[in-house]
Amino acid sequence: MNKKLTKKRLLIYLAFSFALVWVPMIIYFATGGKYDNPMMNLILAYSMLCPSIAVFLTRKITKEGIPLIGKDSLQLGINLKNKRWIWFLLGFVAPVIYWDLGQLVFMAIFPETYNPAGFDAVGVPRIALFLLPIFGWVTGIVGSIGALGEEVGWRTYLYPKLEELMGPMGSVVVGGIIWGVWHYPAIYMGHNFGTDYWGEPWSGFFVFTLNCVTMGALLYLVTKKTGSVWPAAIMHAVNNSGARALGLCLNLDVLTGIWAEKPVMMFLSDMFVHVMGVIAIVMLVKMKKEEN
Amino acid sequence: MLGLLYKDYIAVKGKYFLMVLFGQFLLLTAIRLTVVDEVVDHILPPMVMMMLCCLAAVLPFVFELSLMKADEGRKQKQYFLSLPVSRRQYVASKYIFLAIAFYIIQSVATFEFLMCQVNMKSEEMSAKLSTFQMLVPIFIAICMLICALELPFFVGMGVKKGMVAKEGVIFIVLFLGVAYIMFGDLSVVEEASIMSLVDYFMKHPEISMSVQVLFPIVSILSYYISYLISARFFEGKEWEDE
Repeated sequence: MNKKLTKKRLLIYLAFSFALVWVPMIIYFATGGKYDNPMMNLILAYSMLCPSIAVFLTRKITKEGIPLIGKDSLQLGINLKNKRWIWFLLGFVAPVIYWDLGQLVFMAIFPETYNPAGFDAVGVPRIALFLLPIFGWVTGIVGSIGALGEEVGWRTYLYPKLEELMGPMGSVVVGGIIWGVWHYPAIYMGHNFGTDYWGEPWSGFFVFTLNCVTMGALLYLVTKKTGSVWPAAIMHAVNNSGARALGLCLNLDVLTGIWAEKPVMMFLSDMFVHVMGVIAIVMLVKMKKEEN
Repeated sequence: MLGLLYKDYIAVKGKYFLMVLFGQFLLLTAIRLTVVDEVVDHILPPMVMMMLCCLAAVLPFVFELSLMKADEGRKQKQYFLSLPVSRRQYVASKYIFLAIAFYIIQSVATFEFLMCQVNMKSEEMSAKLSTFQMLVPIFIAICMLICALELPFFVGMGVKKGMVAKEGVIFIVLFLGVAYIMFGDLSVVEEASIMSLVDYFMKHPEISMSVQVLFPIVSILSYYISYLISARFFEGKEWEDE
């Protein structure tokens, strides 16, 4: 293993993936662009493809080749044998589980936030609400190209390279931080947390980065277990599709003080992502030990 | 498997199709970013966009036929069956190839609609655009369903006999259509239009959500069942010149 070469490749990859996203975002912001503009949606969608564009460019420059399947590849193959299908299934189900459990915990801590009338506000009969998670899966898969774009970059290139350099634990922590930092221009403009919140933008940066570390661990675990980027892409896409049944009956307007701050809310409702992420880190470390 | 997919990619001249799709996307981007304000909020761009996406969704039908023809000509099928891949894998490669084509078209459509939404100021138009966008995966799901119905014929019977069967089905559908025009209630047809469908979905979100969920699931399931049927046909097939 040539650590120096791996480091060099990583730096080239990071330079591409950050430059391709940060430069257009900074230009957009500097020229008076606002977050609540459809143009921003387009920039965000484009940004999601950039990590994979960066992988293609890096692999081309460093002459690593662009293998589609197998070890040290883009991992685009699908193999459901040897109980791998369970991990594929986890990719579909995990976002629904951790989001809805998170909302339940939120309601348990703040019972006043429970508002069943929220269901009716959507304009969909309650009987159709069971469709919501399935709706999340379907729209997630249909629009999964963005998530695939990110996952090919982070989970099949960055994380394995970092693992070579610093082991699974270091890979997940450092990789998660890099993934989080990559989002900072968007968060600064209002992504996820909006604007005018306590500790803006640092509290948003911190909570989002923490989320990236744990979520990244989970995504890397399913990628490693299946040898395919698809379950991670689907998990990421379903996570982003935001179809959460319980979230509809959560009235956050009743919260006051520090609890009404978006980073705090996100931290609390993401608790199960963190729990599952920690379990994923333990499993990744164990896997590495078994490999050795 | 990857080799078979690559062979199919070459057989359908995939590089050119990708270039056309990408070129179309770039052209739309350029138009969208330079059009004047009066056009931005007009119904025409989303409709043109949807038509383009629907046209693109028909591409896999072209691929389907070219793939099967390419394999039957020059006895390629016998050649591939001598390779270390099973008959089942061979059939799977056709299905996977077409599924990838559908996925690419859907992905390009997603970006094209995002592009269409840029600079759109009217909220009503924006809502209509979202409904248009919702119709594209449904249309792609229908195309996938039709592919699922056609492929077992092509795989099991070959292109010539498969085309005869396909034409037979089209003839029956046309016959039924003509019969409906002659004896059916034409007021239903007169009122039908894309805009009335869009308005209907906007008024009934529960139906819109159910359709969005059910169509892709039904088409993916049918596609898988179709693969199982085709694989069974192909495994039991004996070649005339073997």
